[in-house]
Amino acid sequence: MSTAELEISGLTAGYGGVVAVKDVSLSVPAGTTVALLGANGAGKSTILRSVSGQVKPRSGDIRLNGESLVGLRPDQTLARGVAHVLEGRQVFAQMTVVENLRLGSVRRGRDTHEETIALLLDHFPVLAEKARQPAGQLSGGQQQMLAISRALMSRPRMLLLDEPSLGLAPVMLPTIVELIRWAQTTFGAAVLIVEQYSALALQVSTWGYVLRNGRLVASAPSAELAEGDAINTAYFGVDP
Amino acid sequence: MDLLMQHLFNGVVASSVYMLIAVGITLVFGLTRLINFAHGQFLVIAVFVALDLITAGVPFVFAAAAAVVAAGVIGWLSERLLFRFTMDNPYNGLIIGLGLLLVLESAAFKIWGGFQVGVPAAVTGGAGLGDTYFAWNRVLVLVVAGLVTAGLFLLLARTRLGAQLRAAHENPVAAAHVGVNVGRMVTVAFVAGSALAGLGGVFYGTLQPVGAFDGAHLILKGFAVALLGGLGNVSGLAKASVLYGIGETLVAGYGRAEYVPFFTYGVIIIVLLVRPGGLFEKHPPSDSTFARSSRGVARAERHSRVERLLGGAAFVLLPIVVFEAVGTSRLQSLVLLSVLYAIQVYALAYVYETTGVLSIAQGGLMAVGAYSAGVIAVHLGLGFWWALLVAVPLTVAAGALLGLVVSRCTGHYLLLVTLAFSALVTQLTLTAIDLTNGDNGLILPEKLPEIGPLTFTDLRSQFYLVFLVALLAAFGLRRFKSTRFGLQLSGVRENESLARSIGLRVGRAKVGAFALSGAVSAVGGVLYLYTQTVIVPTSFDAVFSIKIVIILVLGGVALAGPLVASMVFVLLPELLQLDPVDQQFLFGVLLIMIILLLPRGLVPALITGYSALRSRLLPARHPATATGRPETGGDAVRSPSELVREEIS
Ligand SMILES: Nc1ncnc2c1ncn2[C@@H]1O[C@H](COP(=O)(O)OP(=O)(O)O)[C@@H](O)[C@H]1O
Ligand SMILES: [Mg+2]
Repeated sequence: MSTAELEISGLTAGYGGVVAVKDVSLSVPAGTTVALLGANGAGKSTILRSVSGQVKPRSGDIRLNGESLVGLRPDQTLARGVAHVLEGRQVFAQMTVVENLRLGSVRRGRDTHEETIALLLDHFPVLAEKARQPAGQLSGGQQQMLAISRALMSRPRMLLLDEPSLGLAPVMLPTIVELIRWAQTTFGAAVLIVEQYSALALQVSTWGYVLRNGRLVASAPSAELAEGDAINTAYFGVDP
Repeated sequence: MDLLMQHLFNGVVASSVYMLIAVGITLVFGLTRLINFAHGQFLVIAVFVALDLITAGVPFVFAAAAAVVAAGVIGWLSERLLFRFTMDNPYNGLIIGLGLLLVLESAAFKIWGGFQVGVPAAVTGGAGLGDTYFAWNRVLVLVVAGLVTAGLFLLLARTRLGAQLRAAHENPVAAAHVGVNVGRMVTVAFVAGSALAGLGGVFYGTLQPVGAFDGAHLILKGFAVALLGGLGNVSGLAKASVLYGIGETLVAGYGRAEYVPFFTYGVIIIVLLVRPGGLFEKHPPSDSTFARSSRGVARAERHSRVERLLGGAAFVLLPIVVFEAVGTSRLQSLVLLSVLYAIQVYALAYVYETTGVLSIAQGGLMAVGAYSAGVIAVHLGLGFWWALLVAVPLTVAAGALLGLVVSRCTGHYLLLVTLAFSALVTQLTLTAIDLTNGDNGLILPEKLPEIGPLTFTDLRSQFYLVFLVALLAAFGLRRFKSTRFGLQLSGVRENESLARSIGLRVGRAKVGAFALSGAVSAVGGVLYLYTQTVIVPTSFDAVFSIKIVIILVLGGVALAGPLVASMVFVLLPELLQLDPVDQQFLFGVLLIMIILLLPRGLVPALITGYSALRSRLLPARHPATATGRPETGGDAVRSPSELVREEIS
């Protein structure tokens, strides 16, 4: 048993004839934030989908605190503590903000339920203000806050964030950074954050992985990645 | 107008029942994009169960409860055993539902017989108010159905389960990620929807008699209501039910009961033409919320050209061999009949091959052709050539009209629209007794004309004439696919939005394909009339249309596929001495099995088996197949069910 919360080893996954991820191994230690970087189409989302069970791995193992997640459906991995915030803020637009939040805890008892909602609405007054409005009426940034908050409703041990900054105005970015830090300290979850643009992800993480064409090409402390040229290599394909 | 009050009251009562029927359709559709054709038959079964129990002395309330449970259980079983396997492809689900409908209809006939039955009302008597009579039973139906509906709305709006259902409806992928077990929600929708249909059935049975074969008609009614309300949109349902229920009652009250089907099919066709999203919905239900499963990669084995042609040619000659080999004229006339079927299959293939639409309207088109020819022969004394001259343009026009409606709607409505068209034509031929002689059928006073020295009075010459026309249809289909127009249509079939984006007129292409199909169908219909000499409305009903679809799915569209499959299909039940109900049961089972087990059709499977065997025996001559590597030359044999298996989006 390692101390890692999430341990991915030798993961290969894909769709039909496409192999999107080849032999990827990475780990997220308990209570830390790890970044997974790569260009569009590198396979980042596929890794997250494999962890949460939306995609079935072709081979390899995925363990949460020692327990294998392979073969489970998304609702089952959620029950084991994995919360996956999908790319592109998938809020239920026709349901109210509060209904969205309540849905986030369908897997948990009602006891902690209202308490968590209160905690979240307390921290996000914007959401509290619009609690009874359809989520579709929120701005992009507010929807992202809602999507992350909804994931937190299940009090996850492992939070997977797929490009939380995608499509948001730059002024929103500090809010998202703050939100991730707050979530981490308040809920004690380990975080795996996927981003195309490294600034935000490296800012909140301690360790970073770089993915290119479905393979890991770099793994280093975030600070080093922020300085070094591993990222350029990953994006522009220049081998060191 | 006091009669009006009575009609309005009866209409509102009927509405509450239709609400119960339609809510299941819309719930299931909302979650899965599937329309369960067998849904109407669940209702029929509930009627029979309730009647049996009440006859055995069980009080109404318990009998009704048992019927509801029975319908719920059937819904649950059908989801678990059948629809579960087609969740990634609602179009396949539609066809499975069709098979299930056929199976359950014939089973109901076997168990309960062919009589229409009603459920004794729970309470008798009533009160008059002015000229309007409020039967207590109707009041009870209205109150209970209203309460159940209100309860359902509350459940959806207020409970955890309701929120999960709504979430799964809006975005199944995201719902799974917040912990909703989407598969279970689908089961819940199926069971609840079927149970409500059961309750609706018991109530419907107290108002109107129901028979074993009413499932198809009832699903069309429910579908008309669900469509009016905006499919998948539960909130539009109440208004839609009232509108439909009152409309129907007025049609029956001021017109005749026989006009009600026209109202039903008219609503379906007009709503789809004018407002495909329903009357009360601003945005039509989008298919994008449906989980996009990765498209099954077509792994059709490829054959060398020679092998395919040889196989094809041998099969093409098979009907002649069989015709000459069977001794009795009874069997010979069946072989002739099978070739008449094959012509319709080719006609369907014109539409299917070019647009990917598996239409259940072939019987309707054929009926237009055959009946127009029959009517001018009987009433005007005009012969064969006149028949062609009138029947072909008329059927082409009917086909174009159908194509126009079809081009207005997406993959999932298609089957229902074409089914409604079939039912509409059947109802027309049944109702216009002065022209068609209704149920008694039209007997042809004319004969096939002589062409030079050739006469067509005996079975053999008729067979060769019809066979020649079938071959022309088959080769015509081949040629047609490589014409400019044919290629355009294939573009539409492969990728509709891409075709649209490069400037192809998709709608016009579909209209053209249906018109062409109508022409082939009309010629086949006229030949049917002139060789069989008598036609009845049921010769061309929805079951016939479904048979044509099954033959196409079984035989594939390879040159001789339809001929061979038709022969198997027409001769086998005769050799096994199956009665029509057993046949229908068998068709249903076959349809289900084909979709679940045999993705590429029977004849292509045989050819594949043959070439696999050959390559095993002669490995050196077929290096590519022997090593298991697909050859690159030649195009793959595609079958309808293969496409059906691909997601239509
Ligand atoms: N649903 C899908 N079906 C088929 N291919 C897909 C699907 N989703 C992603 N892919 C392919 O898999 C590869 C990796 O995609 P993804 O994991 O989404 O990359 P990223 O998140 O890094 O942009 C890409 O080549 C993409 O085209
Ligand atoms: Mg991605």
